[in-house]
Amino acid sequence: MKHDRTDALVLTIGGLFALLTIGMTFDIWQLAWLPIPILSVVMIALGCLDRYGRWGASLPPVLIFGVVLTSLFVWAGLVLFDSGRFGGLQSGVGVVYYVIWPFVTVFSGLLYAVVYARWLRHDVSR
Amino acid sequence: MEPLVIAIIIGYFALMVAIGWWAKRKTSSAKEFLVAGQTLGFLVMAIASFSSIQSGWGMVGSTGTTYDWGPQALIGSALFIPLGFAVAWFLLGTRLHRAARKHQIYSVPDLIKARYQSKSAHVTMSVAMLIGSISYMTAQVTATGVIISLLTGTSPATGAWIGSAIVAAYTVAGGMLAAVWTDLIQGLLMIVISVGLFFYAVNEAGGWRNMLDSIWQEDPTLLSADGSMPAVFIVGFAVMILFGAAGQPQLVTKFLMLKDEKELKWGAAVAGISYAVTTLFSLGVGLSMRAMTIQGRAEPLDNIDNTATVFLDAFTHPVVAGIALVGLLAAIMSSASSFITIGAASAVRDLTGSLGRVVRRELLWNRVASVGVVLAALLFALYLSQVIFLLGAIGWAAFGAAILGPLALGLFWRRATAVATTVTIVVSLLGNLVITVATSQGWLTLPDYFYLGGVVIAFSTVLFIALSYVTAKPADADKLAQLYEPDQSMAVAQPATAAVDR
Repeated sequence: MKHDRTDALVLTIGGLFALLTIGMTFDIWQLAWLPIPILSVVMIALGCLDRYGRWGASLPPVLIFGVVLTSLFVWAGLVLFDSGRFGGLQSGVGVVYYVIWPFVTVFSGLLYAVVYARWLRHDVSR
Repeated sequence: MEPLVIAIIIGYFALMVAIGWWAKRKTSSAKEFLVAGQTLGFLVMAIASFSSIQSGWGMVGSTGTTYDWGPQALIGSALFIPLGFAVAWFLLGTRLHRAARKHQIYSVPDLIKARYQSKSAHVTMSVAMLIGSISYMTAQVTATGVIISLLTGTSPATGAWIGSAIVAAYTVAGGMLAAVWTDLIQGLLMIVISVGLFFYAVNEAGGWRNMLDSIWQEDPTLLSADGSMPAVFIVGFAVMILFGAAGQPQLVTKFLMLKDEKELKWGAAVAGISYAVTTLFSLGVGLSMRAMTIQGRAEPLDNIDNTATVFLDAFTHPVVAGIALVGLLAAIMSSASSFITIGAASAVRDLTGSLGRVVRRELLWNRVASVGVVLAALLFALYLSQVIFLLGAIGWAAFGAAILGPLALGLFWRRATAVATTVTIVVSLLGNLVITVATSQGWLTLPDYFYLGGVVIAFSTVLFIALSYVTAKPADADKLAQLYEPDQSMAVAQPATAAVDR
């Protein structure tokens, strides 16, 4: 079988889970933390493929979501162990609570609604 | 007990049983019992999804760990679930709907059978579902006993029997139709109570900033990422919750119940926001109890699982406490009802079907098996002393590890194989079981940063992908095509059973 887009995405997912496994097993927080947003977005990208393996109109909103989410994780990672405070919490915890949590709560579900309306509904209704 | 509280409890129980009775009149086949006749709209499906995920573990257990570990507890256990819902909707939504339209798919093992056309994979997943359902039910039964004992003054064991009898009554009568409509009521109740008690609890502790300042002055590590628990432990917890969501059978089966593909669009948003709102309960009550302990207004807790109930008893009016306890009970019962039907399906439909047996009068036997699942969970609950939180975590991790690769990735990937599926399910279940027993018996000591659930899910998915890649044959791609294409479809369910159901 020739490799296709789905193969590439699934193997990327496997690689990112392998990094997570190493990070969680050997206490390397960067390897446990930073793959999370990338893995989430790669899985979302897999979910956007239609029956012919095309992304169609789904890619721009997913990429924007992915860039923002990854940037927020990098920001939280940069201040994860400092002694400053953000909104009463330690800085890293504050970024997660005041920025990442509201972002994923509002925009991840909204992203699905947008991608469904722009692209996925056409695949289901065929 | 206040007469109003008694009235609320009786009214709540009566409403649940009434819904069960209403659903019973509409349930005349296994399809109606197991997937609510595929009649759900997005609101009922989304609220039922979040409320069956938000269990006694989430509401009671997470409040205790927030008290004990600080805000980092919810980073692990709750904050990423809305993202997990979205990932689940992307991976499962349209594909499951397409597959369910082509085959008679009522359960996760049905899906595995349709996807891989393999007896070993089907049997293994059926066994996993049965064991996992009883394990998850055990946690819900334990939590039910605690809450009802507080409401009625009985012992936790008696409370467990009372709560189990009520949830069994409406679920056995009305199956998944009763489960999802009671989930809707229970979910809305949880949302209202969580918002109200978040603001009340934070205000009681002096306001958000004062509450945090009290904790910071006493022990800054309680508000830090690397505080009570190591940062990698919390991240491992979050990995299990986020990526395990798409592998939870109580969520997967909800996609099989939708009446129309248009109902998918807003589901992830509604479920994610609803879940986030109910997380406020654990956040507000857990942190306020910690702050008030530091302020000398509350006694330190011996058992962190009592955080919510001690708060309600000590700091709220008895009527408010009664309503809130009913809300906690709703969280527990909403998860329990889903697992009763999933467990029954795995015993009656999946396990027997995978062994080549055709069950006649499937609806009747599903009801009998539902009673069996409840009784088994009661026996485990009354003779096991593990805390709610631990039991819940084992269930979530085992399901997530066993289902994420074979099902969520298998719906897209033509190289996914039955061999990889069977091995992944066995490794996920045995890995969880062996390591949990070994650590609890002192035979194995894990590093304090090591969170087993996260590692099991990540490792199992790597294993599934690697094994599939090595064992894939061209015929595996055909099996994926047959899952979606009508002209190549195969008979998944037992047609004879459907015919004799009524």
